[in-house]
Formats: sequence, C-alpha cells, structure tokens
Amino acid sequence: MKTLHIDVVIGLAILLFSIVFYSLSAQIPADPAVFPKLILSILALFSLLIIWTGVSKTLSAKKERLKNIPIFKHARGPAVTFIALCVYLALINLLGFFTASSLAAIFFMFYFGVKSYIQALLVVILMNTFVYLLFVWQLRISLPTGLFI
Amino acid sequence: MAIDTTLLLSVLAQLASPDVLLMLVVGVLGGIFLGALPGLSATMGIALLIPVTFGMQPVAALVLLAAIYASAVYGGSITAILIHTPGTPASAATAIDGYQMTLRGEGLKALGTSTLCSVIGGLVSVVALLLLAPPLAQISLRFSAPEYFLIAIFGLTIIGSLSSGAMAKGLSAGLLGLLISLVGVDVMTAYPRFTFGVAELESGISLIPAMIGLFSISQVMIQAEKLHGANNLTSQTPTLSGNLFPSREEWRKLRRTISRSSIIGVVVGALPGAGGDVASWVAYNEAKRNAKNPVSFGKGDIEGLAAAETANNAVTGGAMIPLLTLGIPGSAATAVMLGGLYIHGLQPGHELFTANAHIVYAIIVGLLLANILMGVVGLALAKQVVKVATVPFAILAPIIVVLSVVGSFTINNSMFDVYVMAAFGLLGYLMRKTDFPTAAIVLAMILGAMAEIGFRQSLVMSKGNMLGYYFDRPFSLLIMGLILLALVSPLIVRWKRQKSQHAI
Repeated sequence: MKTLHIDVVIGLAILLFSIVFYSLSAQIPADPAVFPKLILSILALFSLLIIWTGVSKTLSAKKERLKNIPIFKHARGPAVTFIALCVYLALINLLGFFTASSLAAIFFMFYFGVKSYIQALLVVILMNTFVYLLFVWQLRISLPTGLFI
Repeated sequence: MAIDTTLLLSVLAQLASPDVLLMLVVGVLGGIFLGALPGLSATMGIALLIPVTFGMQPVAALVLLAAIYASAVYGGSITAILIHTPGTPASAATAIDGYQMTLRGEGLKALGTSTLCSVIGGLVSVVALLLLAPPLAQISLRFSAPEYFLIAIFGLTIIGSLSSGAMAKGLSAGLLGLLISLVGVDVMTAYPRFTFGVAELESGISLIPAMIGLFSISQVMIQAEKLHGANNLTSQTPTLSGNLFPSREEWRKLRRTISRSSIIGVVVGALPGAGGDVASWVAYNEAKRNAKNPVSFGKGDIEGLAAAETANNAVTGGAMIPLLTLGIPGSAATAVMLGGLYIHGLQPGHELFTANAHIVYAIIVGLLLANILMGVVGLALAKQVVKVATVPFAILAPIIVVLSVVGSFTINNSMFDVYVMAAFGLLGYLMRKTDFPTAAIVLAMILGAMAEIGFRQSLVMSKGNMLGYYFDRPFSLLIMGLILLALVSPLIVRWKRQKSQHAI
C-alpha cells in the first residue's frame, strides 16, 4: 500500500461509493432515480480514470525511484482540531452556546499558540459580545442553551 | 432613449430621503463586514435582514438588501485574499491568485486591485441592467428545460477544466456535488432520496453550512497542520506593504481583462441560476486562456485576481435582470432577494417596470450608488482591513470556528446544519489534501436542482429522442458548443504546449 499513489486509493473509494449509492438508487422509483443513476454511472467512469492516473503515477515513481511522500504527514493538528470541533458541538447542547464557545475558543487559542491569558480572555469577551449583539440582540436568533447560556 | 423627467425626479427624491441614504451606508458597511467575515455571506446577510426590513419603505428596504448583496461579494474577497478563506462562493476564484499575492507581500495591492475591479464590474453591470434588461429578458424567455440543464452542465465543465492536470478530479467533485444536491425530497415526485430516515435531510443539505465547512473549517484544519510541521504558524502572517494600486503598466495590462470579465459577469449573471461563482470561474478561465503567460495563474497573477473580482461584482446587476423582469433569480443571493420583493408587495415582470417604475428604478440607481460608495469605503478602509491579516491565526482560528458554528445555526435555527458544516469541513480538508477542487462541490450544489429539473423535463419534452430534440434548438446547440470548448480547450492547450516544448 505504501508504494501506491494516493489517487489509486481515492479512485477505489469513489468507485466503491458509486456502486453502493447506485444500488441504493435501485430502491428509488424509476422517475426520481434517473438522474442519480446517471450521475453515479459517470462518477464510476471518472473513478476508473483516477485509478488509471494513480497507477501510472505509481509506475513512473517506481521507475524514477522517487520516494512516496505521505500527504497526511502532519495530520495530528487537523485531527485534534476536528475532534475539538466535535466535542465543542456536543457541549453546545449540554452547556449552552456561549459557555461552550468560550471553552472552545480558549482551547483553540492555547492549542494554536496564544500564550497570554489576558489576550485569550479579551478575545473571548469581545467575541461573545459581538455574537450576542449581532445575532441575539439585533437579529433575534435564539442560540442553543443548556445548563448555562 | 427618451428620459421620463417625472420618473427621474421621483427616483432622485426617493434616493435623497434620509432613511434611504442611511440604509445605503448601512448596507455598504454591513455588506463589506458580512462578506469579509468567514462564514457570513451575502445570501445569509440578506436572508437574515429580510425580517428586519418588514417595517421599512420598499425603496429603503430593497436598497439596503441590494447594497448588502453588492458589497458582500466585494467584502468576501478581503478574507479570500488575506487568509485564503473566501467569504462567499463568488470569491473562491479570487482566493487562488489573491492569496498568493498576499504571501508574496503584495496583499495591499491585491486589495486595491480587488476594490477597483469590483467597482468597475459593479458599475458596468448596473448600466447593463438599466439598458439591456428588455433584450436580454427576451432571450431568457426563449430558454426552456434543455437550456437550463445545459447551462448547469456548462458551469460544471468550467470547474473541471480549471483543475489543471486533473480534470477527472474536478469533474468528479462536481458530480459529487450534484449528488449531494439530490439529497432530500424529490421536487417533482416528493419521494425522499438518500435521506436514510433522517427527517432533517428531507429538506436537503443546506448550501451555506456546507460552504462554510468546505471553505472555513477546512482552512483552520490546513493551518493546524503547521503546528506540528516544518512551517511555523507565525511565518504565514503576510507582509502588507507597498502600493495599494497597480502600476500604470499593470493597469494597462488589466484593461482588456477587466472589459472582458465585466461582460462575462453581466451575461453569466443574467443567465438564470448561474451566479457570481460561475462568472468568476468563467472569467478566470478566459483570462488564463488569453494570457501571455498562463503558467503564472495560480501563483499570484494580478490578471487572475482582476478577472475573478470584476466578474463576480458584474454579476450583481446582471443577476437582477432575470430577477426583476421574469422573477427568475440569477444567483442564490437574488433568490433570497426575490423573497424581499414579494414581502414588500412587488411582483417581478412587466408591471414592475410600468406601475412600480419609480420603485424599481430607485432600487437600480441605489445599486449604482452602492457600488460607488463601496469603492470609496473599500479604498479608505483597505489599510485598516489588512490589519485583519496581521492578527495571529491563533486568535483568528477560534473566531472562525465560532462564527462558522453560529452562522450555520442561523440558517434554519438548527443544530443539524452545524453538524453538516462540521462534516463538510472534514470533507473539504480531505479534498484539498488530495487536489480535488472544493468549489466544484459548492457550484454543483447550487446548480443541482436546475440541472435535474432541466434534464427530466427535457426527457419528457423530447418524447424519447433527446439528442434530436437538443440538436433542433439553436440555444441548446450554442451552449453545447461552449461545453465542448470548455472540455476540449485545456487538452488542446496542453497538447500544443507539449508540441512546442518538443520542437525546442
């Protein structure tokens, strides 16, 4: 797997996706299924093209003895960011929008490298004030509440 | 053309009233602000403000909405240029070269060029709206299902052909976007498709949360890579010095691009369903095709930036043509504006230009003034606006995340949209890492419904002979020619380049 170009893996994933969703389209009545089936058929064709491109890239890299550079080499930061986002969204219903947002903002600031507590606190206060004034006060949006606001 | 003096005086009197002037200023400032903030778009701003305009006079209310529309398209480019986060889908093409210019230390010039091009594009479009509405409306009247379907396909092929060296990936992303647009209850049979029993999916996947995720959250994730990588986050802070305006030589070089892009913007804007996003890509593609050095596109070429910026603002007036004459919105934002017209008791069509002429012309002239004011405010604030980019990403990241969450929630007051935004954030990150254009998904989601309805209606209308039916229609033939050109031209250009390299 290590020597394969990422396009081969992506192409196979798209092909699998097309097959699964095409079979799901088979359960839809004929008329509303026409367009999805057409799209999925073309998508499957393109996936074969991507696989073919990936295979030729793999072969040429082997020929030229090039090292395969992993695309997701620095994936730890994005993974932590995404997990933190998911936790933040879960906390919104539990703690309320403003409390969860404040905690998330503090986490993101320190994770991304803010060192000053005062700076972080100032950003949290200004951000919450802005969101409150624009969305709650001006546009009358009722943001989710939980144990707190 | 004879000018109705009474009408002109009535229009000027309405525009000179304090509440209309106030709404003009609020609309321009608010629009730039909304567009510049990642996660907030013109469509969302207009949608959020429609309830606020309930108690206003129609002219004041609609001038406010039109000013927000024009200015947000411009404002969306500020973040696209400075932090590679397009505020609106129309600014996605701007981000390509604009951000590269910023990284090169020419962020200020990129902003100045963007402002000037946006004003020129906007003004040309308003003049076109004033002069060309009747003949263009006549052409649009001849459009039927096959043409709508083909316009959608044309938009997608443009995206595909822009993904240089990876057309299959560009077109696959477009197809995936089309598929996403099909999620929900089928508009023609009311049958739920790909909803998996989830009630929230029945109304489909909302465009704005998807867009926020694809552009804003994926950007935060991309930046997070630098935390553990070789590059430090602080090294990405752009250098913002130098000139605000392009040099005389650059300006001379841009004149043709600006003229061409203005026309593209107006025409694409006037075509129903194809908005600023399509126009900016088409103009960008055309500028690249006509450039002496197309290789520099994507690496901070001022022509690429000018093309996208002129076209996306030229769309604003163009998109109002089918909106005001036929009631067909030319873009997502004008679709929301259509709601604003109805709320104020205005019916698009012939009557709007006769019985309510004093209102509609006041809105059009108001849009003209908004474009001028947008340029003045933009140039005056450009140096202050660039300070946004000097704020460390560690401060911007939580603001982007929180605004993305609140922006997605606001669309339907639903946490489901927020989850959609997060999912699209992950998808956007994976796509960007594997060279799939994220803008193709957004564009396909916008064009999806139009493409499907056009396809299925023409399937019925053709009575089994779809190909013959399409070839019998001159407008269909014209658009099919354009599609073919968009698909084949990158291949021909590549072949020619290879041939000339071999010759050397």
